[in-house]
Amino acid sequence: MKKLLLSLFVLGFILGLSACTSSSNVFDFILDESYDGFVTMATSADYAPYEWIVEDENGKSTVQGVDIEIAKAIAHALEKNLRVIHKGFDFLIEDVRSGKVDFIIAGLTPTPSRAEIIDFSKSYYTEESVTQVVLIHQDNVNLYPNVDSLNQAGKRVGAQTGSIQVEFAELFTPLATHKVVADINELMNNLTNKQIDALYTEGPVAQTRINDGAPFVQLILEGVDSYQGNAVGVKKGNSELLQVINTVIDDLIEQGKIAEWLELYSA
Amino acid sequence: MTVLLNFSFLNNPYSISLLLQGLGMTLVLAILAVFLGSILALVPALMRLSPIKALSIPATAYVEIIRGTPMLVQVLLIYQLLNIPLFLIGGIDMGSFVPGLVALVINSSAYVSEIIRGGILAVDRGQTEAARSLGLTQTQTMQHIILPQAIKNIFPALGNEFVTIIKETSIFMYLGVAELMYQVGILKASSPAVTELYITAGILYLILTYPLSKLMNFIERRLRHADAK
Repeated sequence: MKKLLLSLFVLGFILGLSACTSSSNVFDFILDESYDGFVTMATSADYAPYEWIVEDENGKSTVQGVDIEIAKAIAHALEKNLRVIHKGFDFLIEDVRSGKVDFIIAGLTPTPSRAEIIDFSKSYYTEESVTQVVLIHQDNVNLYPNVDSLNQAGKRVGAQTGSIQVEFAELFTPLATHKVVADINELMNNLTNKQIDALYTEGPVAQTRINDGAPFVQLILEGVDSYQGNAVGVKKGNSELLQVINTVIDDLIEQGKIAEWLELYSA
Repeated sequence: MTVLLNFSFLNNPYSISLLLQGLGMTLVLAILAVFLGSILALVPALMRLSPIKALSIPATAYVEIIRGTPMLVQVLLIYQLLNIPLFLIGGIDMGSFVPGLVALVINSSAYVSEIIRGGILAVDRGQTEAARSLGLTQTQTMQHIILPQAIKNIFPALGNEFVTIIKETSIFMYLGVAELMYQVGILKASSPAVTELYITAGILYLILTYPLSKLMNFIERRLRHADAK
């Protein structure tokens, strides 16, 4: 009995040690050996194809996606290596405001209230590259032929906390019950289980899921022209960094890189 | 809703390593929190036992505030107040880990201080009276007579606190501390087997907590055994 308990404790400590050496919410990308130091970016890595965590070739966790590619381009422009921090979506703005990180890229939509706290770059996803959609379960295709059919009392529609999709849900389906949750994967799971009837999200996110075999159908959301797209957030007044980021975004859009990455990571 | 469970992700060494790493981190957090919390807990416990009001009132307030507010509020508040810049130790982001641990230690100290206080109070009054009449000072009485007997009362309850703290650590997934639920969150993003993941996480927590409560029962029995002699 004693030996068993002792070995349990030893096992626990070994587990603990292994946790200390390899498991973390910090992902470093050494872009060039000659670069000095890191530029840090915060994101919420649960949002394929923009940023999500996967297994790399060494069996370790790494983060990948369109936003990460953009961050790498920004780091290259600054001649620094990239350090990515993964946290809950609702912590990101506070972290950049307090200066814990240099910038955030997390499918973040510039809104007036957010712009009071942090500064935004220009949009890197434009209307041409991103559509807004409503996802429904494939079994309900006949029940919900269009977005309007969801706009009735008793229907439950989901959107991610703090996202622009919450506003769309209020705009397009004001009569439905809104389920606003921080975790997009939880919502996807709810839709699979038919615990919600529909889910507001972005086209590439929906497409990535469908390509993965999720039983969803997309309804395209029309008339969202005022939509600002997603932007990089930096600490208020950090115009030097903002200028570099804007130049990088201009270059990437001009070279068609962002559309290319979207296609690559949605597959 | 059809329930067809598919635990195939358990065949993937990557998933297993993520879950075990998370389990390790959970254990490290809980051990640190209970250990540091128990030391810190002596302060409010002894302050509350003091007849001096200026000492006992703040200690009572501390315990009541911590016990009367949700852990989530405490963690978020301390994260906000302790604005620690990002730096890494062993690849772990201390900017999240330290505020998280501080919150857990403070929370644990309030509960443990009540356990200690209860343990000391449960020692028969006659023990103090006998010790004092034999000429021991108040400090000596506490150190040699009361505390050794109090520990017997404290130990089993401390084990329960440890079990509670293990479960409470799941809050840290929000801060990005890579404990068990954080790793479940990562796996959830790429796996359709969400129900199975939650069940696995529950079993892993149970693997930590069940032997612990057994261990505490065992130690308690041993202490009682000594008592009977």
